[in-house]
Amino acid sequence: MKRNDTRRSVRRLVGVCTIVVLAGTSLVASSANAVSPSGKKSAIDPNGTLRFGVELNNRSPQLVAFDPATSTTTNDVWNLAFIYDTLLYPPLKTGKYEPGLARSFEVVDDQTIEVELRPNLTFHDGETLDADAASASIMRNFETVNSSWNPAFANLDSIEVLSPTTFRINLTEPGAYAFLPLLAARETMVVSPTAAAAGTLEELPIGAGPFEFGEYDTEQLLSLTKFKDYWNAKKVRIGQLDLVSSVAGAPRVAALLAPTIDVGGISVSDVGGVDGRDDLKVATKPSDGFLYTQLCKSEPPFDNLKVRQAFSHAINRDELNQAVYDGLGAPAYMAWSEGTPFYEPSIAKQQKYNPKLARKLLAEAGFEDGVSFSTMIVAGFPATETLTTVLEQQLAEVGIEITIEQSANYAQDVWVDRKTDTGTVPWIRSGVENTIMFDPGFQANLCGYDDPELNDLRTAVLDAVPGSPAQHDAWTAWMKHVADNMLVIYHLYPASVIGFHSDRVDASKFDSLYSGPSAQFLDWTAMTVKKG
Amino acid sequence: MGTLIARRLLALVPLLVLVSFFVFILIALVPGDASVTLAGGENATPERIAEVREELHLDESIFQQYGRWLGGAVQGDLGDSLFARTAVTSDIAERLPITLGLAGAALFVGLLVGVPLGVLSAMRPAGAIDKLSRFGTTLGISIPGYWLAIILVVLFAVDLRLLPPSGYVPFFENPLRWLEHIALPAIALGTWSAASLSRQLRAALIDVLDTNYVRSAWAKGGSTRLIVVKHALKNAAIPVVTILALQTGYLIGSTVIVEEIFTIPGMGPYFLRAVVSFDVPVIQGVVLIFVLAALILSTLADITYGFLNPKVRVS
Repeated sequence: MKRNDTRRSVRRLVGVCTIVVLAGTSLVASSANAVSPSGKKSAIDPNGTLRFGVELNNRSPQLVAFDPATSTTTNDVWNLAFIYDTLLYPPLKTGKYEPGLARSFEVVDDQTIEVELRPNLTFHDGETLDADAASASIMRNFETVNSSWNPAFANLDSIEVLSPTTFRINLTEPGAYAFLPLLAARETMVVSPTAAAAGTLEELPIGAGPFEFGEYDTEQLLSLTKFKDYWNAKKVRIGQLDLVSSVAGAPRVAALLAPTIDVGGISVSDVGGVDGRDDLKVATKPSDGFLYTQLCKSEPPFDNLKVRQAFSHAINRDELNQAVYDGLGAPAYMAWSEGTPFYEPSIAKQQKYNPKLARKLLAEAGFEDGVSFSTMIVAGFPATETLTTVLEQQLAEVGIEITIEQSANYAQDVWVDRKTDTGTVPWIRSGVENTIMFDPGFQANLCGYDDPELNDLRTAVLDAVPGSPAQHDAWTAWMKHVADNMLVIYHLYPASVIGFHSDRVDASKFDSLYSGPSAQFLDWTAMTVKKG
Repeated sequence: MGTLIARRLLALVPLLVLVSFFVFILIALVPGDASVTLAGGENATPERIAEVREELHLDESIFQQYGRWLGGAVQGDLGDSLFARTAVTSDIAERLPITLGLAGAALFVGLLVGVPLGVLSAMRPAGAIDKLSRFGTTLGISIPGYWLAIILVVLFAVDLRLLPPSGYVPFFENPLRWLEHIALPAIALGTWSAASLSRQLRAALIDVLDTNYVRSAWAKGGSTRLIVVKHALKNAAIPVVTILALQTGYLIGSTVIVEEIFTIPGMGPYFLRAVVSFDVPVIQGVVLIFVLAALILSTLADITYGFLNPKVRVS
C-alpha cells in the first residue's frame, strides 16, 4: 500500500515537473517573442541589404530564367527586369508608357516605331548599350523559337539602326500600337552582346538594369547588387537585394518572424499572424489585377442581356471584399481601378448592388423561378474559392443558382474544352491586356467574340496616342460597351499585402504596380534599408 | 542467398514497366495538357497550341508517347522538362541526394527515438514509461507531418530562434549548417517514424519476452542487457525490419510536402511544380524514381530477413 502511494507520489511529481518544464518553455518562448528591437533608426543605409521573401520557383518547374530569350512565362519579366530593365514601363497608372532604357519613342506610322535610347547607357560588364546592341538583342529574341512570346512579336519585320542611340522597328503589317506593350516586356529586353555571344547569360546574366547579378543558389537565393552606373541609380536606394525563397502562407510568415527576410508578400489571412508586433508592420493596397467571371453572351442563359445585368446587380461587392480580403481589396466594375485616369464613375454606378432590380430583370427575362449556371475556378486558389462561395449565397438570394467546379488546368478546361458555362479567375495584368479576352484568335476569348463594334473600339484603344484625350475617350467607350452589354462580370481588385520589419526597412510606400493577387513582385524603388 | 537477390532484382523490371505505364495512363486520364500554358496562356492562339502539341508529341496517342518515353528511359534518358527544357535525368540526379539525405536524417530520428522507447516500453508493459510512451506515440502517429513542421518552426525558429525556419545548405558545403537546416524537417518527418517503430517494436518484443527460451534465460540468471539485446531483440527485429523498409519508402514520399514547407530544393518542390503544370516527363521521372526506391527497399527488407532468419534463406 505504502509502495503504491510512493509510486503515485512519484507520478504526480513527474506530472508536475512536466507541466513546469512545458510552462517554462512557453515562458522562455514568449519572452523571446516579446523581445522586440526598438529605437529610432530612421536614416537610410544606401548600402544596406534588403531581403525579400519570394517563391523563386513558383511559376513553373523551371527554376529561374535568366535569359529573356529562353524564359517561358510572361511573368518572368518581373525577375528579369531587375537585371535587364525594359525599354519602356507599362502604362498601368497613367495610361502613358513611361521611359525606361529608352528616353522616348515615336509611332511614325502604323508599321513603324522609332525608339531613342538614353545616352551613355552601359551594361554591367562595362560595354556600351547602344542602338546596335538593342537591335541585336531584339533580333536575337525574335529568332529564338519561344512559344511564350506575345503573338504581336511575330509582326516584327526588321530593325534599322539610325544613330548610336536611335533605332527603327519595322513591322510586316499595321499594328504599331499593338507592338508597344512589347517595348515594356521580355521580347525587347537588351542583353550584353558579349555575354550573348559567349552563351553565358543563364549562368551570368548581364544587362543594364538596376541590379547586377550576384549569385543564384538553386531555389534558395537570388542575390543582386546595385549597379552604380544604372541610368536611374539615384532611385536605387539599397545596396543589395536578396530574393530569399520562402513559400507563401505560414512558411512566409515564419520567415518574417524568424526573421530570415525583411519584407514579404503575405495573404490577408496571414495579417493576424504579423500584425500587433512592435517590430513588424503590414502595408496593404488594392492591386491592379482583378477577379472576374468570364461568360459567353451567345450561350444560354447569358444570351439574354437582362440575365447578365441581373448577375451583376445581385453582387454585393463590398461584402465580397470583406469576405475575401477583409475589406483590403476594392470593388471592381471595369478594367481600370479607381484612382487611375481611365476610371469612369458612371460605369461603376450602373452596376451597383441592387437585389430588387436583379430579381426584376430576371423576371423580365422569363426566369421568375430562377436560373442556374456553372463556373470553374482554379483549384488551390483560396481567394476565388471564398469569392465563389460568397457569390453563391448572394446570387441565391435573387434566384440564381451557381455550381462551382474546380480545375487544375483552367486554361484547358475553360478556354479549350468549355466544361463550364463561365470561369471565375484572377486577371493579373490590367490595362491594355484586358482586351485580349474579347480579341478574335486569342485563347482567352472564351466566347469566340468577333464583334466588329468591339473590335473597332479595341483598335481605337490600341491606336490612341498614350496619354492623349483620345486615349481616355477610347478607353471610356470600350469599357462602356463592355458594361452596357455586360460581357464580363468584374468582382474585386485583390488586396496586395506585405509584411516588413519596420526597424530594419521602410516599405510602407510600396506600390502594387505589378503585384497581382500574390503580392509577389517587389517595388524596390519604394523600399529602403535603415541604418544600424 | 545469391539466387534470392537475383530473383528479387529480376522481378523489379516488369514491375517498373507496369507501374510507369499505369502512371502514364493516369496522367492521360486527366483532361488537358500543358500546351495552352506553354503556348502563352491567355495569349495563346489555337495555331500556336497546335504547334506546341506537335513539337512536344502531345498530339500522338498515349501508347506512342509511352513507347517514346520508355525507349529513352531504358537508356537512362527520362526526357526533358516541358517548361525548363532541362534533362529530367540530370535534374533528378541533382535533387535526389538532397531528398535521400532528408529521408535518411528522418529515419535516423525515428530509430534514435523509436528503438529505445519501444524497448523500454516492452520491458515494463503498463508501467509509467510504457503509458507515457503509448500516449506520445499515439500523438506522433496522429499528428500530420506538415502541421508538426509548422509548429516546430514557430517554436524553434520563430520563438527560440535556435534553428533556421527554412532553406538548405548542401552537406559537402558545410556539414554543420546542413544539420541546422535539416534538423527541423527531419524531426517533423521522423516523429511519425519514431512513434510507429516504437509501437511495432514494443508489440514484437513483448511477444518474444514471453517465449520459453527467454524465460529460460531469465531463470538461468542472464543479465537484462544480454537477454533483451542479444536474445529477444534479434527475433523481435523481423517485423520491425518490414516496417522500417515500408517507412523509408513512406518517408521519401512524405518529403514532398515537408521540402516545400522548408524550401528544400529536393524532389518535392520539383514534383509539385510538375503536377501543377502538367509537366509529364518530370512527373513520370519522379514517380519512377520513387517507385524504384520503394521496390529496392522492399527487396532489401527481404534480403535482411535472410540474414536475421535462416529459415527464410532456405525457403
